[in-house]
Amino acid sequence: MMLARVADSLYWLGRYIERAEHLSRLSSVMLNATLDQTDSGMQAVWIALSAVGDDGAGKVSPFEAARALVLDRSDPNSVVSSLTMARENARQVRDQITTETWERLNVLYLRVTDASAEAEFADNSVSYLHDVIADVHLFKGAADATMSHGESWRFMMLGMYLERAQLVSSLLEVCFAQAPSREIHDHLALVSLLRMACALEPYLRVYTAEIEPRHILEFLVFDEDFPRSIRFATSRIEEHLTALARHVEAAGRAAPERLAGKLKARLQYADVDELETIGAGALLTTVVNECARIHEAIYETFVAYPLELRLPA
Amino acid sequence: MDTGVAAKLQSLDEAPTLPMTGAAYLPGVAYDEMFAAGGDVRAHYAPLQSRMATLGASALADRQKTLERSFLLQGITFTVYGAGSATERIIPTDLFPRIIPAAEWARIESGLTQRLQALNMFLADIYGEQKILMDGVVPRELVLGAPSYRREMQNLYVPHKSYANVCGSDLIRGQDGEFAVLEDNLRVPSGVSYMLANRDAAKRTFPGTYREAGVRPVERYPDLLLATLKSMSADWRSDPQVVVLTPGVYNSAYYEHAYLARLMGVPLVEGRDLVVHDNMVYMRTTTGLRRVDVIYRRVDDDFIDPLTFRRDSSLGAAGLFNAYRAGNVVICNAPGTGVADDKAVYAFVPDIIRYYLGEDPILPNIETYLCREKSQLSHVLDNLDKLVVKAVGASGGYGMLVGPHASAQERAEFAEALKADPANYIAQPTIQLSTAPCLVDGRIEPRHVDLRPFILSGEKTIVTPGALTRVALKRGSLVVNSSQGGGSKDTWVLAEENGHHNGNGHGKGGPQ
Amino acid sequence: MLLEIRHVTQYHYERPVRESLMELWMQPQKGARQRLVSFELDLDPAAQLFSYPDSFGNAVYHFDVPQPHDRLTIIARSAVETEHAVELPDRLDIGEWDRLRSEFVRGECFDFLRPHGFVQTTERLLAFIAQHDLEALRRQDPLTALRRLNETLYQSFGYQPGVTDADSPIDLALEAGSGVCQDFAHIMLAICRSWGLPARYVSGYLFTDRDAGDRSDPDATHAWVEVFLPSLRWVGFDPTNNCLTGERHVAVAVGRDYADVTPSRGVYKGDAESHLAVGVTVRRARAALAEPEFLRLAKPASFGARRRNGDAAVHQDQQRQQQQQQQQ
Repeated sequence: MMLARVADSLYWLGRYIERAEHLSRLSSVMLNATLDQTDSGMQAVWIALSAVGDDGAGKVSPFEAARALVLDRSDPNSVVSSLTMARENARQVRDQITTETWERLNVLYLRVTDASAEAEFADNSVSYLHDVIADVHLFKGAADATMSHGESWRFMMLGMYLERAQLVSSLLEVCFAQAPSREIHDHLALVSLLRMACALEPYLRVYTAEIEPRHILEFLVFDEDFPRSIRFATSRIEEHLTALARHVEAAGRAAPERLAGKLKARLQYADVDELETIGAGALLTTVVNECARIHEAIYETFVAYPLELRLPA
Repeated sequence: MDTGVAAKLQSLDEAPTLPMTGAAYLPGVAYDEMFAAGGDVRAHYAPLQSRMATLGASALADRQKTLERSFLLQGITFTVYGAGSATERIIPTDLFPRIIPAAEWARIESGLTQRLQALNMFLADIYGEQKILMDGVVPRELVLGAPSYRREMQNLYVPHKSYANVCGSDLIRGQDGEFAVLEDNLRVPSGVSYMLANRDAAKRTFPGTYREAGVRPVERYPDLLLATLKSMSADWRSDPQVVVLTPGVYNSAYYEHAYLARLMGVPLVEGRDLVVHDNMVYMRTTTGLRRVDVIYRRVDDDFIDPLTFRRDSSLGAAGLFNAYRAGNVVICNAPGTGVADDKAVYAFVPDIIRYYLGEDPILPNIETYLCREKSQLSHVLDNLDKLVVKAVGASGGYGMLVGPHASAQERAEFAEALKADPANYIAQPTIQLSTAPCLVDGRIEPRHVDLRPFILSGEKTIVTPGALTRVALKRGSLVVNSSQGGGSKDTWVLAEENGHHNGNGHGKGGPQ
Repeated sequence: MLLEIRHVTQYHYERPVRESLMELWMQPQKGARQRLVSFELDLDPAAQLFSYPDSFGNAVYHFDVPQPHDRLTIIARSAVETEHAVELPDRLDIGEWDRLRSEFVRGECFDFLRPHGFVQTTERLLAFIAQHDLEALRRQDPLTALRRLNETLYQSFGYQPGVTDADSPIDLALEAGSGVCQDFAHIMLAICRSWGLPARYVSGYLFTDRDAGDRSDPDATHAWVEVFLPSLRWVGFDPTNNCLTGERHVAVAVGRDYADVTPSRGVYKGDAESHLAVGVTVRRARAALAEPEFLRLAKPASFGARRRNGDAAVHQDQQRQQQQQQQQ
């Protein structure tokens, strides 16, 4: 049992944290890639900026684009905005999360909102982003290690994995669902892509240094054990929703756990051959759309349900 | 008054010096918590003094910095709202504890218990038979005419007749060393989280001294609060659902609301989480509606229910009061308790104690002039430079004139306000609050302090053996409110058997 | 006189709203001179009814409608048997003024002796008092003074709906020289209280008799004033119709002013304006009760909308309220 509003805040806390981490990594990889003045570097910039929906890709310098992505407070999707929102949500549910977890997030928030943040970023942006990402990991670790893995934690995880499934799908859509002419084949650009999904080292252990789009798709969509693959994320979503829905008994509800179950099954029984036949785009679009439907169903079931359906007898 | 201060100042030669800074500590005319008039350290401060002596100035500064950092990290902050922006600040916290010996505390404890008992009886009376008004002990106008008097509360059943379940009374120690009550806070008193956070910090800052001193623990406050709240619920509800109602995250005391909810293990709700249906109060949970039995509300009376009170409130739950009236939920503190901490009613509290209990008050009041009385008003106007004048309805250090510290123009302006609406003001003599050593810019200096103990009252009345000591951080200032630049420090109430160190040698291990 | 009253209240919302809560001050008083024969409330949508006595002794009914609805209808039906007014003396002795100053009266009638809400001693009211030389009335006994005051108010104001609404301060009617029963009652209350006469607002119904010279709208609720005179207890004055209250008056609720006894008030959730229509019929009993002939549109002024926080202004307002919470 927990307050509907609290569940909502925890869910968004998870989403914002995941978003902040992802954006930090995109920025970091992008900046790293441009250290070499190569075409691959520019392709990496294009991937990163397209993945965040930045149409003006290439109009400003990669550094300026990354700075905006990280520190622009007027952009609701920047790292600093995401972390501010994450902390704001955490503050709303301060009684639900452990002090250890809260402190990690608070430190991170104080870091990115500090007056010296701009200067530190300008001074050594890659190291700055490294620290931000490390802090996010500390937060996640603290949450995992100190919070009860009950409802609160599950809602947070739910938000995290939904956000992750959507972010990874968007990233893959940019690279593999475009017109064939825009498909990425450049080796270094593909390495950057794997880095953006935090997948390079785990990928290498499975596929060695053969960097192939087909393998990348297989790994990031279907791998069962890699925590950033879409299948992994949807499995977790289904698992958390099934646990959360156990106590909900309302007729006519949208049953998010069933939607999640269907999506999970879809990914379980598909493989990379099918993907190549029907085109990656179709499946990735399905994932993005289904995630949006699950999001709405979560709202209708747990948060903004109509009162009259839940009145006590 | 200023000349008096100067005359009584000790000369530099006599002033006690603290070894680690070598600087003089000049307590001045006020009673100092640590040093007796001759400069000797009071016995109950001895363990702290010996620890202070072994720490250098930089070690102290480091500890202070660590302390502030830990408050910031924990989010023990309040938010200052400016034009379009909001800044979070920690409430300045001083690392030296303020120490109260057992015998002094015993008096405070019995005095506060007596006072709250009488105030609860007063509330039960004015919302019931109104005997005290009929007998003319308290002027009817003061009670029935106060905006904080809630007619809706008339003849309602309040369990144990406990209206003020949580009370935070402000005590001050005058020049004679005696404690007196400056103000009672019976509405939504705050600060208890700072008491707990300060204690947590003090244990880390002076662990050895803490152990040696024999300090009474305050850590049980959350479970005692929960027990008090549960004792207010209907007998037939076996496992009452308690919640804390907060105005929301933008409220400056939000940290405290979340803190108490977390330590009690109960949900922290906002008005929008509550639903009233068929005269029952529910909260919206992920698995449907769940009945609420007791609401520890940190929202003002006016805002708790737009149906009964302020129509434009979005912070409460519509229908809440009717559910309360029907006995289906308990609101703590009860609505309408504010009438008993009104600054004008304050002047009558000693009479109230005598009236209901037939006892003399154990803790005295500060002498108070009611400006609504013509003769007292003219006395106040003639002595504005010596008095503290307060608006009756205001709190938090607003609407207040400290005569001796105000400019002639400020006094003139205040005099006009007074004449325009005399019933809205009271005046009290300027009391030299006692001082306690504080670390200010690397030096140890005396600063004025007050004392806010917390009293719980449900089935039983419990005075928490600890308090929030509020500090006026500006030199010479007497205003301790956090909204006016005040800080706080931990308060050690010593246990009887460990209070005197000339005894059995317990804890003589030396500084650690 | 046996009277049957049918009081229909209808709220329309522009879009469906939810979680409506309502309180009703609609049940006629039970008293020595007014016997309540029956009272029933019909609600649509249906809801569970609850009641409590408020601090003035009025019976208040309340209910909630959780599900979405775009209209809410309340039909209150009552049957009341009233008695002839007690014969009052022509005048009281002048010592009545002293009896009014007794500790007992000042204690019992505390709330009805001071300005409150709509009942305020405004500059305009003072001008009105001066203009009609009303202070001179205080040289007479209180009963005579009140009769003259009642008459003066009747003569000075035209009965005209639409000049004022439910939330108008008395200055509006004073300025316009016209208004409705609620305005006249508030003005009379303000003058009485300034004279030290305990006076309370009464909401109720009138079985209108045009032949007797009644000006009141027969299709609306009515309001008048009761004044406490120690020798006579509460005496009802109806400044709208220049009479003392009698068997055609059915008292429902008493309070310090209109706001204490609003026939219906409530809150709801939803971003929609509400429109209120009210119809009243008062009939001699035995004649079959008909539907009100038409519903009068009134401004939903007493109806506080609770909007969902959607737009920024509301959100800001909420932030402001949170910040404003008193910190002790």
